[in-house]
Amino acid sequence: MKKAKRIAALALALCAALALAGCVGKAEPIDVDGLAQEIVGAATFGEPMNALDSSVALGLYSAPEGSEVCAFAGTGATAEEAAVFNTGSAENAAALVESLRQRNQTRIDQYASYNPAEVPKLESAVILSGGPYVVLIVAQDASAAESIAKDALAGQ
Amino acid sequence: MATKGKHSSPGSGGGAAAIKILLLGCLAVVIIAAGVTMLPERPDVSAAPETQAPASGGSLVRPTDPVPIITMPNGEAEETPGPEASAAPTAAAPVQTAAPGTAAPMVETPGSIGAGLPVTVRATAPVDESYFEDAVFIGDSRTEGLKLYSGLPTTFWSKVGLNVSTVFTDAFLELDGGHVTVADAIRTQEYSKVYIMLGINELGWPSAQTFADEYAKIIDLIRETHPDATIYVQSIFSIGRIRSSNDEVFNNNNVMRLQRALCDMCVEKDVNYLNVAEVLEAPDGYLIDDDSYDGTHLTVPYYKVWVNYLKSHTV
Repeated sequence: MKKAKRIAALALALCAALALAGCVGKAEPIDVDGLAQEIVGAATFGEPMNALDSSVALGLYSAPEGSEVCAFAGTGATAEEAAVFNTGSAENAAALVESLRQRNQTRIDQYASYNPAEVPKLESAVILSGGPYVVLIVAQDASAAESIAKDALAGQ
Repeated sequence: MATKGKHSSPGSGGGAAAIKILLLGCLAVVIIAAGVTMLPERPDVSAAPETQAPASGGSLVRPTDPVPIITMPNGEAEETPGPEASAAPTAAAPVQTAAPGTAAPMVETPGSIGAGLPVTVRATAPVDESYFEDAVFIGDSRTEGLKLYSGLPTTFWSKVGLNVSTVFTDAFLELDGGHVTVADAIRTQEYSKVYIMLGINELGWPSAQTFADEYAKIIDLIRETHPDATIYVQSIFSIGRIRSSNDEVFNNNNVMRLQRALCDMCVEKDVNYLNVAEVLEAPDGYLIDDDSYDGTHLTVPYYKVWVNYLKSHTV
């Protein structure tokens, strides 16, 4: 009888431990729209930013199928933009990061002759990922927004 | 005693008096007649005036001051209008023409240049957005803005800095697994309508004719590869007042210089001219969008204006 009680207690303890381990590994989902708004509010842009339709943004950034995005852009007068993506997986996020870096380099080459004043912003572009999420910021001053993005992505 | 020397006869005193009176009367007539001939003539009010005062409301104003000369690569020199405020005030002023009898001068603007041409697309009943599903839009950064904010379900072959020459040389389009030029895409892709807006990046070109000639090559290529496609050449719309007044290149004078050549090309090639400029300029000819960040690109509300114009001007 005593032995049975010990076994039962150990089993319960084991179950509790496993349950706790499961909870620690789970990250809070990011509100894509909310984070994008926060980033745009924190960064300094040269011109007002405008929300893009999600279908336009998904095509613009060649985001993986099934991605969720909230993006902002200027009017064409500057190279500024900001976007937050939920790509669905860490693998998709890694692929998108690589794609965004190539796109950013292409824009640097374009703006070098078209509007050289915008090149420093592109060279300072923030492209971050955490879990399935990706953040892109091209701004006059992205430092505050970058901090917010890093904090949000840290737990992913 | 009778006096000698003087003779008088009975009855001759009355006749002498009559003669005197007659002579005096004649003298009076002569004096009066002489006086009348010396008076100035009154004008004849029934005759038409020999000269007319100019019609009120203005006169033809032409730039009279020298404009900057830019030497073309082939050594020829061609005048290029400078910014509107840098030279004397009349040097770069819009050309004003007065229609006879009108009260105010008509100012030539980017929108007025292409209005009323035989090839200018007239207003029609608005089409549904599905009209644009089989269209392609070729253009520069202004078309890039249309891509972002128009909401049109269509295809864009556009890039910042694109011009009528780099359409043939810049392989920036990602198609069929590779990078191609717009000209390549024109040759190989399927479409039924083509909208083109180029010119803003060519404002500094010395030769407007070169711009038009290069543009014509795009038209020729489309007609060669897609003879049934409907082509719309869109006007170059205005620059904002502040930028236009302070920029050597991005100013309305250059816009109008290229616009005239563009319109001539459209007439010569009998290609549809879509006068978008007329709804994007203020009465003074400058960009209507006061909120434009740089006087060149539109803010979001005005992309909607552009779209509405496209929907209501089809062939």
